[in-house]
Amino acid sequence: MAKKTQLDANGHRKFGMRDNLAYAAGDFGCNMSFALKGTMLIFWTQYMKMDSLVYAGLLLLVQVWDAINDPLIGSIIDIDKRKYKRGKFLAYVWLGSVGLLVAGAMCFIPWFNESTTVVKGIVFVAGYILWDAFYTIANVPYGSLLSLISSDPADRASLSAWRSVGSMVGNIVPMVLLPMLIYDPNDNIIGERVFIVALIMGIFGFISFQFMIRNTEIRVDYDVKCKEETAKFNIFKAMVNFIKNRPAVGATIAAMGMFVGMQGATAAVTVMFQSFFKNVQISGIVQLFAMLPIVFFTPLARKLVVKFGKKELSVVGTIFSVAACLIMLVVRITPDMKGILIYVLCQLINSLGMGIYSTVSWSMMGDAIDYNEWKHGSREEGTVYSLHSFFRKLAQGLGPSLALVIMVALGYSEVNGGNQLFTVALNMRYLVAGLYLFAALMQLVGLGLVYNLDKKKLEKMNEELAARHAQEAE
Amino acid sequence: MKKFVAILLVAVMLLSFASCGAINKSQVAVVWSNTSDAYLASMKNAIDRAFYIENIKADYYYSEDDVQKQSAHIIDILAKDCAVLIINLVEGTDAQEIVNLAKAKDVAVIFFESNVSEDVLNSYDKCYSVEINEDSLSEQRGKLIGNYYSDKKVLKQIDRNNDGKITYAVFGSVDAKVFESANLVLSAYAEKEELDEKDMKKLVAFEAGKETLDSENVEKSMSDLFKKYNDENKNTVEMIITEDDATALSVVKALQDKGFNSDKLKTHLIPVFTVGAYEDAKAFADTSTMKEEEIEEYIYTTINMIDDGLIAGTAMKDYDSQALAISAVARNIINGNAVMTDIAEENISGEKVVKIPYMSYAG
Repeated sequence: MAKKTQLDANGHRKFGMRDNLAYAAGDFGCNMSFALKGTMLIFWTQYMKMDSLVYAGLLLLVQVWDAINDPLIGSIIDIDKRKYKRGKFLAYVWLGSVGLLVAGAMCFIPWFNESTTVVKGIVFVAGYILWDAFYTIANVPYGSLLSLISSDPADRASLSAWRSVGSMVGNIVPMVLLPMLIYDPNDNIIGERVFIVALIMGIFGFISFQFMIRNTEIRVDYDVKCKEETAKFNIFKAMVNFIKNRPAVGATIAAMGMFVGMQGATAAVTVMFQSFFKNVQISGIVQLFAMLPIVFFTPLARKLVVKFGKKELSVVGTIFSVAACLIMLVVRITPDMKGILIYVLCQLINSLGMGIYSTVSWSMMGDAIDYNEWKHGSREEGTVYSLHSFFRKLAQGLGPSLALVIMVALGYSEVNGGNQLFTVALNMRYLVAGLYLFAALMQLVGLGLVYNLDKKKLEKMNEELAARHAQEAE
Repeated sequence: MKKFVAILLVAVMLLSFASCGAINKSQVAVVWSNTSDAYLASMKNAIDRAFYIENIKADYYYSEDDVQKQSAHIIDILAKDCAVLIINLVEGTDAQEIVNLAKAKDVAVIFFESNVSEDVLNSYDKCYSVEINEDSLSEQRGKLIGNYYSDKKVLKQIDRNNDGKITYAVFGSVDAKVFESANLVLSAYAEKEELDEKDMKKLVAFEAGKETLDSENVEKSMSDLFKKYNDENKNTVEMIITEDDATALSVVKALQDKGFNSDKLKTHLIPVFTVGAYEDAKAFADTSTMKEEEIEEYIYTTINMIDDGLIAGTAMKDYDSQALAISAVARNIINGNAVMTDIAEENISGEKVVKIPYMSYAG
């Protein structure tokens, strides 16, 4: 006898693990192309032999395009009032997933490595724009979906936590497997293989997205009824509303801080393990180890959020991160096993703090979208989410660039890679601690001082919105 | 929340105080002969690291290979509040004179990378030396070769022309201890892998077919070598040993001109074994995408050649262990511990000398 699907009071499938797994699959799908972004610098400068400065300039250009692309696509989604079989947002995710089958590989076309700089530049920019467009078409509505799958804060916290799991798995798999597949025994990148791997990852991404689409239930009714008094969508007004949306701004500051610090620290961490600890093999294990706190925290996220509240929980986590990073900065860490152990301990506490925030971060954006509706009368999911996404991407791009500038100022010599002088290696050790501390402090500012939806206020907001929706339905 | 933050900050402050206790800068002085020498530059880097581990902050002085300058530095140092003088002598320096000056001021002396006689060391009870154990060189060279061939895949490739001999060429000389040591390693490997008699025979065939070549003219020597040993004669060189890495670089250049040691898949590889690790090998690096100032900064030495598979391996001075030994001795002197505390027993030679063995590096 077939298992009967349990329904809630509104006739929707009851929220459960299926929703969590489906939502996690979405972020996994996104990361099947996003995870390759870190390989772009090596591919274009070492394999395609593009000059580093030219690459940096073109990267800045495409980041500017990102600034236009994200809110543009977000507003297109918001303006779109057509009816779709599975709903507007899932339809856009589907469209994005089809494009991402090949768009990720378009950033790694290997056949022009003997061409002129102009040709290479055109290939790079065209490939990146194509990838960025499809990624945004999939990612923006995907992020907005959180607020539509459930209005229950506990459910949203659960979805946010599982999104982090999907993101983590989507990052770990390439982090571990990619270096084995795309480098030769002498650590040189094999360009043709990157292209093929990107295509394969695109297929996996597409499969994940299909799983997500087929197992996602939209429970929040966002249908716009054509009323005379309904205001026309205005992109500039939506952007102004974003700036006035304290939860959105607070969550964005926290996310930006996290990415500038954490992404910026990535290169410095590698050099630190190479030149300071002289043990680069252990760095992968340490990074994996540092993800453990998130794994243990995720199943508890829902219960803790219900008990303490998202803002409260994430602020406590951030305080732990600040403390761990301060210790990392001031305590003498020696380049031996004792020093590695101190570093690992600090990283575990820092990761726990960061992890608490990252598991609830997406649901915080869901609440920020509700806040938009509460304060300004319109949800503008696409614009709110896309602006948040843009600032996150900006931080992800800015972080490594800023960190590299600081590394060079501290004596880092790019050509010598992991073979740096000890005095420089020592500077990297302090830079790593400094960057992590910066990330933690920005999170504290964003979540503790700007984000204003504590448990009490969130309850009030949800009550008032529910009453408003009930009134509109009558 | 404010109380919580305050408690955390106090805890962090207390922890930071706990990590103090450094040995002061003025207590330790290091006098270098020079640091333009690639080996000494690496030695300095290793000492920076070792001193950091031991929490020793030291003053550095550079003599630029000038005996007068060195003397001036030492007089300067001894006039200040110095507890330990660590010195790498400029060639031609009278070590006894320095020891006498230090003795008069009750300053301990540690020599490194200096040829100091036993008499000089014994003339002062606080005089020590951290040296390289030259006797260990042959053994390390042998172990390097033995370990390289302790691999079934490599074993199959050793005898390129299947004549039952390992035909090798030597630039300079190689003593019998090298092959004794190599064969010990290989015998142990053979026993462990239960190799058959045919493969066992190959392992002890090093002595056969050797050629001794002139290091002064590597290009001509290699050219003559290939005239005699080539595929047409069904007789090919299967291994080359050099006494220094500068020669090894010239050998690799000559091999590459003949189509060897440049294939990334290593199908045309003649293993080259050498001694030393710091020769500038930038000519072998791909600097085509680098700017001029980057090329100047770029470090590419014999060690990088080994990492890239162009040289099989080298026996080199273990500067890391030397540096750790120097810093341990300095720390023990300052803290009033027995001088040889935390020094490996096998490296202690008498009461005043630490001898660090050569190490092998194969990538």
